[in-house]
Amino acid sequence: MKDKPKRRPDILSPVMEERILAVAYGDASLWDKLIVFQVSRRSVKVQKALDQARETARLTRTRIAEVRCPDTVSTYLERYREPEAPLMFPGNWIRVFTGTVGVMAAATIAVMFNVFVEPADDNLTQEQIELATLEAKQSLALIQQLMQDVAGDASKQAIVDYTAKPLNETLDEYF
Amino acid sequence: MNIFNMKPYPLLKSCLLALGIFGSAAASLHAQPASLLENPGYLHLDEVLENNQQYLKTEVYLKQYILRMVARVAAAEEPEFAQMLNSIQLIRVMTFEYDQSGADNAEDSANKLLSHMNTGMWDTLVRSRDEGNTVNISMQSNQEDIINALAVVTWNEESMTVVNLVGEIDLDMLARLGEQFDIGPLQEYPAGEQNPTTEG
Repeated sequence: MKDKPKRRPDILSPVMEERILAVAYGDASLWDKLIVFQVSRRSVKVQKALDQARETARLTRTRIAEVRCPDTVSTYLERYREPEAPLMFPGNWIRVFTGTVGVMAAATIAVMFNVFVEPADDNLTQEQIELATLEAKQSLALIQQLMQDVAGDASKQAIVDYTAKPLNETLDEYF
Repeated sequence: MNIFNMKPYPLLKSCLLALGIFGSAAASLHAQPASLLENPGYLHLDEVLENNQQYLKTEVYLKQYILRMVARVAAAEEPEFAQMLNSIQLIRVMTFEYDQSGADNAEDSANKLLSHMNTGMWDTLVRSRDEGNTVNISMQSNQEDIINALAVVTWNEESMTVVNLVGEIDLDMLARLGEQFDIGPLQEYPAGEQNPTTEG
């Protein structure tokens, strides 16, 4: 089996190059950003490439004469323009915000699991299981007995309703 | 590169997306019918118990996890009984015995309970009165041929019994099993002593 050719240390893979460019120009997915972030922390080469791409992106943005761009492009670029007014959330507050959101989300999930998911309790003794079995059987027997009694009474009542009452009413007509 | 130094808007979007995902997960958990207390077939007997605590003779309170364990143990020898228990979420029975001083309590408590049930989703199957004994059987049914809850309230001058079953109840199977299990009355507990399987 042939050995895989060793990658030259000064060349990035095409996929990584695309990722770096996407991050520099601000249209990378969250996953790509995380990958580039992780790799750039370990690789000076990737860090350099990223810095260079960012600088190029910055120059590109500043050099494009917006007056020549179609309105759709201008609108799109607006999102990446450095704001003149102070941000609503200063840079360091974003860490606090994301941390708070993460903690709140984790706490919400934990509370929901504790409140709405009943934990299984397998700590009944054999005696308790036998007692519960007996109670379940006795309860079912009780219900069946009550329903049987009622069925008997109900059928008697039905006989009264369907025979004695109409009979009485008919007799009343004659007397 | 530090992701926290990124422009805020994509990061905020990501945070809001994550929050939305967590919120949906939380909402789906909340939407599950997790609590027996919220089940419309569950009879809230706290007021009955509070007014008749000193007359309580027997209490059975078997929740789903206990019934499941009993079903697991009984499955080999009594499969039909196990099948029934697996479909029931709650068996609750309370019996009260009254002396001379509490003779009116039975009728008052029973009528209060029945009037409360009338405002719920209960349909009265049978109400029968014979020689001083009154029996009221009510049920709830969300689908045809499936009874989701059963309540039996019976009383006379000397005693009152309340039975509540919650779950998918097969009346035919209930009748068959009930006939088999003619094994005497429910075990009595002195007032104040707790049934080890009862949860208050």
